[in-house]
Amino acid sequence: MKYKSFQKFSIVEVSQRLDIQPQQLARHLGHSTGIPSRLRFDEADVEKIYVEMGLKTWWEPNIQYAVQDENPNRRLIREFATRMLNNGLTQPQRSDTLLRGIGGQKKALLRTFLNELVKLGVLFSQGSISSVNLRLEPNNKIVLEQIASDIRYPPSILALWEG
Amino acid sequence: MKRNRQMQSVVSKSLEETLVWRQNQEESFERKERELEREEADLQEEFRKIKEKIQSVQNLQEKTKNERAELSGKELQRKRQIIFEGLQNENEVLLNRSVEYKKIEEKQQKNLENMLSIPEIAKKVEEYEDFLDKEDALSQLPASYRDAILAHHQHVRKDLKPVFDAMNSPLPRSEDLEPISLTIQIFMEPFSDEEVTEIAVLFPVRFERYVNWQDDRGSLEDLLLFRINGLLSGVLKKIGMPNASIQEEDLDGYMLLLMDITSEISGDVKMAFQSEISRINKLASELNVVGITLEPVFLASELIDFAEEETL
Repeated sequence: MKYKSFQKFSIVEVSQRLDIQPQQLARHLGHSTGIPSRLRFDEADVEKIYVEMGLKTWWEPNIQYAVQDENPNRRLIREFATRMLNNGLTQPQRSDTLLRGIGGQKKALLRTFLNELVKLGVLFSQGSISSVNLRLEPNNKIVLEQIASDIRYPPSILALWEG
Repeated sequence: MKRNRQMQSVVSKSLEETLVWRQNQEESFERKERELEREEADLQEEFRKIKEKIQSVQNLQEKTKNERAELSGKELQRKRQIIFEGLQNENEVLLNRSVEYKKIEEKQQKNLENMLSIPEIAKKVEEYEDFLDKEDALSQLPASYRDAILAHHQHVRKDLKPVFDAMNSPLPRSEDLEPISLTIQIFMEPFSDEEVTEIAVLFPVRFERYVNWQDDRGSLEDLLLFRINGLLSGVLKKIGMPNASIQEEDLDGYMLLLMDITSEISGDVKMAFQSEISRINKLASELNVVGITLEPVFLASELIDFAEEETL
């Protein structure tokens, strides 16, 4: 459709714009306002859903690094660890929020890093109606702090850039 | 010896007669005994036949008992057959009606595009969108200029009402299609008044559509999959488990959604499902236009629980 006022998005288009799965969108709508009669959404609907779902975008198109490191993968992981510490992961947050805005190999690397943190008990994972939520385990916060500060890395994390 | 020729004495004669008597008696008893032996043999034969009959009846009793014991298993098999044949048939209905739905939707879209291609309307739409782009900056303009722009925008908006109406109008109901009901199978454990600990929902959408959802076909299968996901979160909210997670599984190629019941349910599960399904039947435009309604059927979880049988 040429005109944006008359543009209606499909379920999949809305999901892609929000970087969530279609079933997560359905479950959110079913849980909140109820699924509408026509499954077509306009720009305003998308913005409303973004706010209602508490979605956040952690990564800007051109990553503004606060961390300096000569190894690009280690730099990205340390940046992520820093953002987790600064963005209040002491409260549960949607796991997709932590990766929203980043794509490709960087996203895959950070996803692996998240999984390793869950295995190490640094992050606690819990399912909810429309997402998996993650929160920082207070007792293991030190592990993340050491990663962010380039002090010490668990072997499974070290392997992410050393192979 | 002369004396010997004398007439036989009575005693002697009687003794001889006794011998004859004895012989006769022997013969008589012999006959009697043979007769009794035959009778006994006949009875024994009859008895053997009766015993055989009893054995045969006992065998039948055992067989009947066993067959009766197998009834539950056979009922299970029959129900499973109905369930999976039903899924296949209803999926075919959904695929066929999806073609019709696409035609109706495309026709409405075409009408809208035709309207928007009229130069007079296109000009107004451009004006309208231009206003929306600059709306945020209006507050910085002088009041009189701002009011004039707003008044003009209202005018343009009024002129465009038929176009907005065309865009938002409900899709027309197809008159050619017979109304049909699709089954939403809801499996619960235990299937009684006790506290429900497991809920699963099976419906006629192929699991493949969940896997390939991102290819965005917008088919009735995809839309129904979306509706059922929404339905489940509505049900979970109604039964006091708003944050329970839902897992997707492939059951013989069809979509099975499992709800993770981890705490006590508050509320009536069946009523919650009926209410949510009735809401879909009332509201879901894509199903209404092609004459589809959904019907909940509540079943015992054992019908889809194959794990126990596999280990036997």
